[in-house]
Amino acid sequence: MKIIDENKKREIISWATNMEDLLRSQAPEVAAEIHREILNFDEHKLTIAVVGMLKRGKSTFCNAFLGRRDDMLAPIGRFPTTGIISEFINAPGKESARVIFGDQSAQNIGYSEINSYVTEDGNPENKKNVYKVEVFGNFDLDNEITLIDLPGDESIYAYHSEIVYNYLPNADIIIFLSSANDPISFSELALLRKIKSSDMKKIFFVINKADKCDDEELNDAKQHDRQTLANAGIAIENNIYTISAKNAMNGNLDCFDFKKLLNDMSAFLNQDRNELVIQSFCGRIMAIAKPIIQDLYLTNKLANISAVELEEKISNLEQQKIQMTCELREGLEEFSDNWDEMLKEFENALPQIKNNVEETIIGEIQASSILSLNKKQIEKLPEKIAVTIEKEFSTACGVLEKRAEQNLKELEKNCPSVSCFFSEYNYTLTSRKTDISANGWIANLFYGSVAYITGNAISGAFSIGSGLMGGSGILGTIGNFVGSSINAVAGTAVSTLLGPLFILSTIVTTIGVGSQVASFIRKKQVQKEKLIQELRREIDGAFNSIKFEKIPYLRKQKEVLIAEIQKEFSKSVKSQEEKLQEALKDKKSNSNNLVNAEKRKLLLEEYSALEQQATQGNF
Amino acid sequence: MEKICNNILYLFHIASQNSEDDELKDLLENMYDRILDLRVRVNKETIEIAFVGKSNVGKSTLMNAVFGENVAPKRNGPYTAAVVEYRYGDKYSILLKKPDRVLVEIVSCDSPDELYGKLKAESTVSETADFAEAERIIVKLPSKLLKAGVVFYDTPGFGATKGENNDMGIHDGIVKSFLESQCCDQIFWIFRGDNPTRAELDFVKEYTSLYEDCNRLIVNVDEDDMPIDFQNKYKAKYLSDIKSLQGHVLFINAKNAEDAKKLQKKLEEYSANCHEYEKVLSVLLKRFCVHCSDFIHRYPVWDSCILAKIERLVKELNKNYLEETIIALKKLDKSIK
Repeated sequence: MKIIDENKKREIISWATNMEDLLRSQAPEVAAEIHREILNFDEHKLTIAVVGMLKRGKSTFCNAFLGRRDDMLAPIGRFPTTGIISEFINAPGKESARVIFGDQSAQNIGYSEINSYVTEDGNPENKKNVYKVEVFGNFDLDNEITLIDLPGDESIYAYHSEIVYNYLPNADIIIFLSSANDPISFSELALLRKIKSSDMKKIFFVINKADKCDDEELNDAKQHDRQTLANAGIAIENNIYTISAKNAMNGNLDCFDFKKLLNDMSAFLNQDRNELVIQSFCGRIMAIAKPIIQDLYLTNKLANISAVELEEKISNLEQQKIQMTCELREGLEEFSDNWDEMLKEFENALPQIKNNVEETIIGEIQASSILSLNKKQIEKLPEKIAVTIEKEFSTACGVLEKRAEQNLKELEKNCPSVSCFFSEYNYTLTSRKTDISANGWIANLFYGSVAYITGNAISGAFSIGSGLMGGSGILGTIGNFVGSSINAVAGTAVSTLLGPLFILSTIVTTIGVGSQVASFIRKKQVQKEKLIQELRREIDGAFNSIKFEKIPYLRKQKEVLIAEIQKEFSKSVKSQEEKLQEALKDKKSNSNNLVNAEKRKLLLEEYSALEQQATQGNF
Repeated sequence: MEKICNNILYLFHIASQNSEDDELKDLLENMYDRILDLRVRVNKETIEIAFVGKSNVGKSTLMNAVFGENVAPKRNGPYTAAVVEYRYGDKYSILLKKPDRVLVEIVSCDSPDELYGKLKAESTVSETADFAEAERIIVKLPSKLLKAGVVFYDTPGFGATKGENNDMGIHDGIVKSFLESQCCDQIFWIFRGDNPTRAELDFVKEYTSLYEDCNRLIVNVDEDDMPIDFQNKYKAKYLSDIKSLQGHVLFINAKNAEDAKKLQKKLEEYSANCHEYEKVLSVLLKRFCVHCSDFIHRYPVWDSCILAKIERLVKELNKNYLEETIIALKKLDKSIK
């Protein structure tokens, strides 16, 4: 299936080549860098990965997508078949495959041998140590696209799942195959959550095997899947597609949503996805060009100022520098104090939070009578702990985040002359202008908003959480980190106690409470205490780790921020001084002044034309 | 039988109180539990058979195949949330068992179709309060098989999800506590022919061990007459470490009438044989002895007098196939001394 629009790519490449030509006279090394970027962009292939649980028809789908009526290239079987990654690449006139082994060595093979490398029958438990198989052929596939067939998740072969998880981040589009006669299960949801940590927009949720159901069953499956995904907070942006890969492989593309799926994928790759790729490509090119252009712009501007005015500016800057350095020093001192105070408050809040957590969880266990602490209650414990911790932390973390942002804003407010300096000298070009008044000079130094900077500084400390839960911002990461560690341990502590407690309740109900039972109850009570002890220890552990690892890290983060701010500041001032001196020198020598000015002006004009093209997406 | 069970229970209880070792204690408690189950089973007049499987493997379809008429509603999704109990009644009717153990009769129907319609309506979204609260739905049918004293349980499918927070399979808890508390005579595990998953196999592995001697497996396949080499390969692949299922596998296409008859016949056979409690008890005790001798030399705290008592009790069963058990017990006794 062909789904890519080639022209657009050519246009962008020609735009980037213009930029390269423009800069060659001014800075050949920068032009060369742009050239390398262009080559990378040109070679980049889009990958479409077919993902799903075992026996969902992934290989059948691949065969259909390649326009094959047989299963020679992606073998199909009754048992979980595919055990290895296969990549399908269009190469007219070349009908062969290449096996890449785990030790990087490669071997060319014919189509008929593919089966003996990629299937569980031909290569049981991957004894041949294959990393992947690249299959070339005269496919009905865009040159830009690599189609990936992956093993199924959750099969009895655990290593299949490992292959899938490792591959997920590389894919540009993920076709998630589920099955119409097997509505979405817990394991599938877990797999989707793993994918979600990358980029949701690229997932196409497909219900395969629609041919195996009647209309009512298909409707049931669709409705259940949609509802389940919504409940799980997994927003699938695209439709849910029902297809029959088997029918498609037999040449019947018109049944169910197969064509619609292709169209939507095509639209995504050509528009949305392309836009993202282009944006990031253009962004990179512009970022490479920017320092040169900015330099030109400033030189151009200063060239129009008289020598007397320039001298005045130089002496002004001298004065300003003293004032600014003073201001910044004081400002940073206060910032440092504020930061410490903020962390101190956070730290002070910890015991209370811990107390609340313990009280809620342990209190409940203690309060329940021994006989009512049943299996259901214990099973719910890990969840309860996670929820409690998240609830208790949410306020404190929100405050932390806000305070950090406030502290930086305060710093800006305390240094008015610095702000003044930046608004006067930090020239930026037309469309990509960073609005100093909105973001402040600190943000401007680091090219981002203050919230982003503090967010980075803080969340770095907590990025241990798996990210699986997809929590947003600092709060999410803290919650994840704390939640997951306690969750895991509480889980094991709880499960060891489940068995005995259950026996207890059977005994009590069948024999009735007698003297024999009393001794059993005593025993269980000891175990309840053991559970509480275990929980206390784990909660202690988690909070200690926040106190002795995370908070010190945040403290250090402050030093990093201050050093960065000082470094960037003095760099800006110094370059400003140099610029002014240079302009004055040029003015005095008066050499080639007019010619250079003309040339500069032309270059700048050309650049803004290119820049405008990029921002408007009009190539 | 009941008396023997009671005596053994008592001995095990004393033994577990007197032993210092955790491992031994666990073993004893486990045995205690098993024999408790057995005692409950001895007292029952019915034969209880449960159908257990992942969601959408075709439990309800099989249920219908067993009765030879459409009564169990099948939906494509995790709809059956409570265990459905099928037992004999001279008319078609539905009763609900609430958590407070109150039985509410809500519907009586004239035909299986009406019953099916009612169950189906209730199994979808519009659950009425009575149904939503019920922890068991009891369906009475005038079926020949049921009249012989058989009770069937159709359990909710495990592994299903509705995607809610921290949802580890919405019905897993219900199925697990059912398996742990019901003491069924037979458990029919149901797989689909194409894909037992790792999680599914783990679940089955864990809970087959709870019902060591009464597990059966039905593999619900799409095609009639699965080739024998497929069957063998299937067993080798998936059942290699679920020993108690290995000899008891039935490949059936639930939608095929012939296969349905085959299943009905099998069920009649099973239910005729499953009340040999002495045999079950002797197997249990034998296994127990093997376990014990594994670590008994490490912990010679076992009261040999208790062993002798157990031996005497076992003798009371006075059945030929118990000889082996007695030999095993004697060996154990020796190793202690």
